Amino acid sequence: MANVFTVHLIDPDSLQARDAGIAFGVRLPWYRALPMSVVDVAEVKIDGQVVPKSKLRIEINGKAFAADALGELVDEWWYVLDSARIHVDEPALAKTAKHTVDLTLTLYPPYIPGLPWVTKATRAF
Amino acid sequence: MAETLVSAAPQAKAPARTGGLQLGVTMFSLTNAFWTREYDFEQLLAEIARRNLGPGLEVVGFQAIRGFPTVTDAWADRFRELMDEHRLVPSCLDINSDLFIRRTRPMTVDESVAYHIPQIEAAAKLGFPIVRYQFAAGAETIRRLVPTAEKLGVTLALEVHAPYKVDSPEVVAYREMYEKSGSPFLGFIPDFGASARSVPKSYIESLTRGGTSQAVIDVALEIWASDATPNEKRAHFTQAMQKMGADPLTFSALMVIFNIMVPQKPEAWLEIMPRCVHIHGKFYDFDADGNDSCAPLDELLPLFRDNGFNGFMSSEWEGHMYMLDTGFEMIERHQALARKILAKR
Repeated sequence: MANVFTVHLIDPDSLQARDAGIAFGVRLPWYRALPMSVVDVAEVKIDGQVVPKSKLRIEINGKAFAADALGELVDEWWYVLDSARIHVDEPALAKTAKHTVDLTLTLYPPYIPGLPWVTKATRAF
Repeated sequence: MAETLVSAAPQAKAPARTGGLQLGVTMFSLTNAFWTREYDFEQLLAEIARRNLGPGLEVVGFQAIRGFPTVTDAWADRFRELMDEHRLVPSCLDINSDLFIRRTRPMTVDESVAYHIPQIEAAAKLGFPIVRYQFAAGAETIRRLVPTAEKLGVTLALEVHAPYKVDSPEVVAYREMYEKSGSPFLGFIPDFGASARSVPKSYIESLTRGGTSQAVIDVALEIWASDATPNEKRAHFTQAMQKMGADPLTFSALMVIFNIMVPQKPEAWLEIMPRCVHIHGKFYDFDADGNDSCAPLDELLPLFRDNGFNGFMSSEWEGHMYMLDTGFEMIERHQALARKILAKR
């Protein structure tokens, strides 16, 4: 299903390599702002390899959060026009900024219990 | 004592509702144009005015306004200025009943009341006479919000949205509470996705293009058209998908149809017509004859016009779920169709 969310999920030209790993920009695949508590960075693959969730952080509003500890963030809002950044804390990846990223982002819209909203995208940097 | 306070409320002056059925737009329809950053909020308003898609203007609080439900004085002043400049009329502010922001438990009624109040205050500050709230709120939360609504002069209106129908227990709970309360500041917003004739062909085609198998689609559509309750349909669908080994993406994309569209006869709305204060003219695309491919607009609009409805129908294009268009042309076509239908007597 192609929609603006799948087409633009991963920001173009946004991948940066730092000593600790790499990071790239990502949009909120939903029509309105949501609290981070209903955001799940379900899967990140770099060059085809799944990254363990413990090595993922997501940065929003100038703060970075462990991807496996978002559930409590009911007061941290992701505004619909903002890009977040996903950090992959894997120093070995930092040697180059040329990577292919597969991302699955799952949202749990907070007024629709039991409807996971799954968006998947791939971008080659 | 809360009981006495709520039932003693009828001294609140009833909101004036006149003018019959008028057209307008919800900015939800323009999600693509806004989300892609192609148009900012002010540019969207200017384009809505230029294309004459008003006069009713509906806004999604958590979309249009950064930091919502907080609305700064500057934002509110500018919004009122723009409404005057573009001759638009604030029709309805969409607020959200986010009871499940905690993944582990729903909000308590106290938490939910506290979550809704600043959103209703935002509506009053911006000049919206109506807020759209959602099923998840619960009748008890809304009952407790009646004094707030009356004080601010804002009507609380439940979006009667698929998968529920006028006689679903989920809607009946609100109808009963409304009757007991008697407040004129309680209303309904029919969403035409709850009057669906069929799932739009273009949606199914988009799934097929994405690689979803015909067998999986057939099973989903069969369950969708059945007479089962929404919960039963979702359970049947979940079981069938597990059996067929569908992946989470396919599951998510098809599960959506059980939440946004449900078959229901147009006449069903008559049961709640006196409480209908606004309409979501939900649509996706048009068939070869130019008719709405999902809801029978040609039956629905005369029904509302001829049975005492006063308020706006917002053209609500939800095709952005699977199409990349800005939405402007779709809204133009929808309103042209609505005008044509309403011109016939």
